[in-house]
Amino acid sequence: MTTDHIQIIKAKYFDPLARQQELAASAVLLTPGQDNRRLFLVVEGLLTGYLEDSDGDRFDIFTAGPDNLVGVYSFFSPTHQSYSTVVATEPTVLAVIDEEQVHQPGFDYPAFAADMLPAIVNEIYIRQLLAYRIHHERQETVRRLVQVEKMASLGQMAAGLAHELNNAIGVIRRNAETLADRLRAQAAALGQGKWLPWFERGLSQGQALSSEEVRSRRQTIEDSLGLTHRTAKKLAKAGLSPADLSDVRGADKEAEAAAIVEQFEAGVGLHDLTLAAQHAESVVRSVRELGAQYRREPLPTDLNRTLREALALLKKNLKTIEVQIDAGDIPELVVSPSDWLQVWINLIKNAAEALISAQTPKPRIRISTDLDGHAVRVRIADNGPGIPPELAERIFQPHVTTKRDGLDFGLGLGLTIVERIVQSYQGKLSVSSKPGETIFTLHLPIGPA
Amino acid sequence: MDRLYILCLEDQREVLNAIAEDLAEFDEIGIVEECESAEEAAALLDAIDSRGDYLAVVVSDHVMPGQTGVDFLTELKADGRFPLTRKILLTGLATHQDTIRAINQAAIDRYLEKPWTKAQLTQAVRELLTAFVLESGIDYEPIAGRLDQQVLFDHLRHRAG
Repeated sequence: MTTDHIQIIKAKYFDPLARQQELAASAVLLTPGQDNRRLFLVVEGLLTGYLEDSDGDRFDIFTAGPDNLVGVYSFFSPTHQSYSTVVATEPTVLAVIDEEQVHQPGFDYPAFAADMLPAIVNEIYIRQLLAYRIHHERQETVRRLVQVEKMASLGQMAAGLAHELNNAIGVIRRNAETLADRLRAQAAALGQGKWLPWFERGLSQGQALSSEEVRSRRQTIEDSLGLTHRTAKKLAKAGLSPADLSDVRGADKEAEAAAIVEQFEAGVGLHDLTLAAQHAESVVRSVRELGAQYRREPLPTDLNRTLREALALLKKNLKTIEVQIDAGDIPELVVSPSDWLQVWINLIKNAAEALISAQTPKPRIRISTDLDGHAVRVRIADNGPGIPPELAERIFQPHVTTKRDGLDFGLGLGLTIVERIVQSYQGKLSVSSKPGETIFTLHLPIGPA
Repeated sequence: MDRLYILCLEDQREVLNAIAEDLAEFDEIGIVEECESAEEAAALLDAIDSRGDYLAVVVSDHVMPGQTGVDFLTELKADGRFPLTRKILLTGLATHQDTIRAINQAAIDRYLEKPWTKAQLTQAVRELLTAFVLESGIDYEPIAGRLDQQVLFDHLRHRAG
């Protein structure tokens, strides 16, 4: 409906016929089902029309400011029933025409109906939009519910897995320790005790030398002891230093070198076994925590810890990226840890993927947490190519994605979900981006003291 | 000095160790070298070349801090000093795009997925090492026992026929 048209309606009908009605802020004009035979034109102020569902949740349908018509449907419909609640959001002045006024003899009703037709058609249009919106939101809700269901069952599976794996890992660790003791006892029994220090070295340090160091030591050993390339390399890996060279002095140098290497490698084997078991343990712990997270109850949470967990979970994606975390002294907040894990994972993964797909040299992600007034501030920065300005305004909308190569199977909903979570905690998420530096800044109010 | 080098490139030490251990049988006829970064490997290439030794096979991981395996192998292909060197990509984290580049630009000879079995790795290295030896005109007889018999047989039969 054009502004010209509303001016015609005003001039022809409202100016001569209407009376004025004033509404204070929050005053209710219409309730659902209420009989309404009045046509309203907003002169000043703002009206909002909404529906309420059985849970008491409010669903806003329209707002009407100056020069908007309200009550068109109930005025012209046979039942004269308002379908929504209409309330004044601000102090409002209305121009009101009562139905009996347009049925006075001498009033050209057909002309009036014809003039109002565009407004009536507009109502149809608005209702179509409304129906679509409701349908869309329902779809979204179902989709999210299904996702939560999946996550919950995944969480349960993870907990079960974790339990089983922990048992097995425990066995591995215990046996590694027992084996070490047995080997020591055996060596002593066989009179090989003098080589034991090499076993202990392997056991405590593992393969500690870099390949470059090994290469240079090997050369020295090869030259001074005249051993084969292979034996020299193994001795070098065992960490044989020039000072130790005197250890290998007997007639059969190869045999002595072999004994040293054997003890050392046995120690390294057990060392690496234990290390691997520990690694498996920490992976299991992360998986179990991830599973537990999906209970979603809010509890006092250290956000720094959730950030570290997110980094641990994304280790594979971050392998080629330098990650710095500057964990500030922030108070614990009562939040659902899984919500924030989701937020960090989305933001960090986005940064990592941007860096990798742009092949940024020396890719870097910096994360910092600190206090900013009465809010916790978390910043996630990357040195990637940045978000193009035309995209920057829209990135929080659904289905906006910059991901290529078909490696992303998501719906581009990541940032939408992040925004939704942030808003649900009354937080604020902003982004500043220029080539070479993109920073996502999150402010989370600490809450009433 | 005519030694045959098999270069292993992998940033995680335990894995590098495991690769070298698996290739222990080649210690008899060549030198298995270990490098933890592409930069280190590049320096080693210079040393091998200046000594007049042969770089027969490279076994490389892909995802590493610093230069990636595929990039290193691509540069190796373009390096005029090692035209006959055989290249194996041994990895668990290569994307589809990386694999395409590895084949087209780095001209890798084998692609092995992690986790690998010792038999898979030694088989691949043995075959490629044998092919390198034969193509380089190196005298294979002293080391024939350690080479791949099928590759040897096919080469000889081809020459005779």
